Amino acid sequence: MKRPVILITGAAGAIGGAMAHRIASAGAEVHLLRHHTPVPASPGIAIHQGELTKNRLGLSAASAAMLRHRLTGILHCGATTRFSVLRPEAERINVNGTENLLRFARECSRIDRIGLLSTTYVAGKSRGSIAEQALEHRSGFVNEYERSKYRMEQSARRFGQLPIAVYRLSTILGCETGEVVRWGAVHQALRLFFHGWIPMVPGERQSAVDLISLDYATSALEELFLRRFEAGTTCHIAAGAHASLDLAGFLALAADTFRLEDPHWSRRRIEVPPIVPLRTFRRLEDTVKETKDPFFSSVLQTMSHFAPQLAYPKIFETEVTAQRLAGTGLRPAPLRDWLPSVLRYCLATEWNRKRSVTPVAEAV
Amino acid sequence: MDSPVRISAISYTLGSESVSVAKLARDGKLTSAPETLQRLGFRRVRLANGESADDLARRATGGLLEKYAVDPRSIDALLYASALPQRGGATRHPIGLFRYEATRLQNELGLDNAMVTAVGQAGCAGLFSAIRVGRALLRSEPSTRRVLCVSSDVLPARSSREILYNAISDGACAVLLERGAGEHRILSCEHVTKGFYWRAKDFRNELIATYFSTAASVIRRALERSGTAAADVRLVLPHNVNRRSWEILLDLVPIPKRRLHMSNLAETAHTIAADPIINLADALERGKLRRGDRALLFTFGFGAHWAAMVVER
Repeated sequence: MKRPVILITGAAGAIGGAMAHRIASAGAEVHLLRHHTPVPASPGIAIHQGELTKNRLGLSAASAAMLRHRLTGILHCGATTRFSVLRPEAERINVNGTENLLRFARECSRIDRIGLLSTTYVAGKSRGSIAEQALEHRSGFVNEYERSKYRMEQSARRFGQLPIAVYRLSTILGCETGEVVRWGAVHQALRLFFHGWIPMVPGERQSAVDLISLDYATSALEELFLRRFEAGTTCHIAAGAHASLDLAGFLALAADTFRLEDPHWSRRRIEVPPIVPLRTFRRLEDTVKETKDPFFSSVLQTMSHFAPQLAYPKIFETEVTAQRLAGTGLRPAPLRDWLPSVLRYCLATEWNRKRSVTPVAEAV
Repeated sequence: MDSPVRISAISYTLGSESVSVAKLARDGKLTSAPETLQRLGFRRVRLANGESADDLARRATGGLLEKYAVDPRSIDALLYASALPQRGGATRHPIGLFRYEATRLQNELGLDNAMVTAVGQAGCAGLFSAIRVGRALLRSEPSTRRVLCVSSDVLPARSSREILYNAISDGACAVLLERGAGEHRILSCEHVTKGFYWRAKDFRNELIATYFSTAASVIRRALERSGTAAADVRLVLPHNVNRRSWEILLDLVPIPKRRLHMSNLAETAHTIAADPIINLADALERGKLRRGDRALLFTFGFGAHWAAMVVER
């Protein structure tokens, strides 16, 4: 078997960066498409300056020609993943950028695999059990990030002649050791909870909080993409029914951990935020908008791009992924087992640094 | 079984001058735009117009004694509650600092047999605290048969009239408690104090964030202790803070919003400690509570106190 030659986009991100090293370590020749953010050089990994949204991916003519000739696979991790992203930017990067990449792939003569990273939240406001092959729905979306990934998947289906597999990732919270590689909106929300700044959380007590570890996400991706690739499949790399926590349990475990780790927290008698119907949360948002309270505007803005998702309870099915990973021993660790480690890391690092008291409005 | 205690009489008085929130804004006494306060349910506030808290307390208490033909000498205890702390400046004659509204009230209204004391430092929950202490006195001391609870609060003349998006009025309220069965029995009193938030200004954001969850749990406990299902609450008699916050809180309990009796919010605004009792008096006057109906009263006081009471007509 010839040595695989893989192009990885989004290598500056937590997933893309980890996958570059994993795939290189597995013996593949790795090429990274680098845009703004510097990517550290590593032996055996070639870096190409480029941009997804540009013609020919913004590559130099020489790089483009070389890659067209040599590439055997593409792992597309590049995306804007900010929950607060606006539609034009989301469309430009996540939809148009992917289309550009797939057009480029059509010109690559040796391509035998393309892995597109998506999100389980292409399901948007759908409720109930979400099948891995399912895509089309009219439920709407909580944020533009979800919508853009949905549109990306729709668009990818039009490139049916290419060997494409879609990997829908759930939200990555951190490593099972507790380390947080990329700080996001969920960490920010946990920080707000720790400080006693969250008045309420939209959702239902039984809403599943589906969070996965970076360890599982990257191990599963490596296996699915490198060794068990099958074009035309969609896999949920998600906690699913067995490894998620329900919302009430998630908040209670977070509170227990804060209490245990910080005796001062108990003295403050911070209440676990009540879980309320979305209409009640919207009432609070409307009231804060009316009063223009700057602090709570910021708090609610932090939450508003993802927390309403909890008001649309759903379980991501993982049967296809489990079947494809059968025999590897890979499965998501139950969130209850490693959430406390992540929270301890958050506390120890003060959520990555001593931030200003006013919470930031967006995922970091 | 604990002997029942009932609210046998209520009287209240508001500042004599009614001023629109628009005028308050023009006078620089609001921090929010007047339109914002209007959308939150406030139109006018009542200002004491030169009268002191003592004056209002005297009028409310005197009004109660007169309206219900209560012999002042039959009052066994007077519990005076004021949310606003008294401040004494430096003086060469500290003895002058020892003057109290409560004893003045006793003297001027002839409450000669009343043991007089004050219940303070509970913010807008002060009158509830006084009622709870009065109820305990009536239950524990056979010789105590009538307890008068009085609250009176007047903001300083040049003070802002807005606290956390609520328009503030001056007002006083007198409540007579008696032992024995009858109408307006107090079925339960619940009060939670979270001392961590004792500096309201410094913990403003934490207070707002924890307000709803703590309020909902205090209300649920008051209902539970009185054996009242949320669905059986005929009326919710609130402290007059912005209407939207009440709609949110009722969602949490949950109690249907149509049970909220807040019709005087626009004209009366928030009178610090007296609102729920004023709302009870208004509801009774309008025939909104029938015999056997249960009402939930709730208030929140900076300091930080959440208090609820269930009363059965």
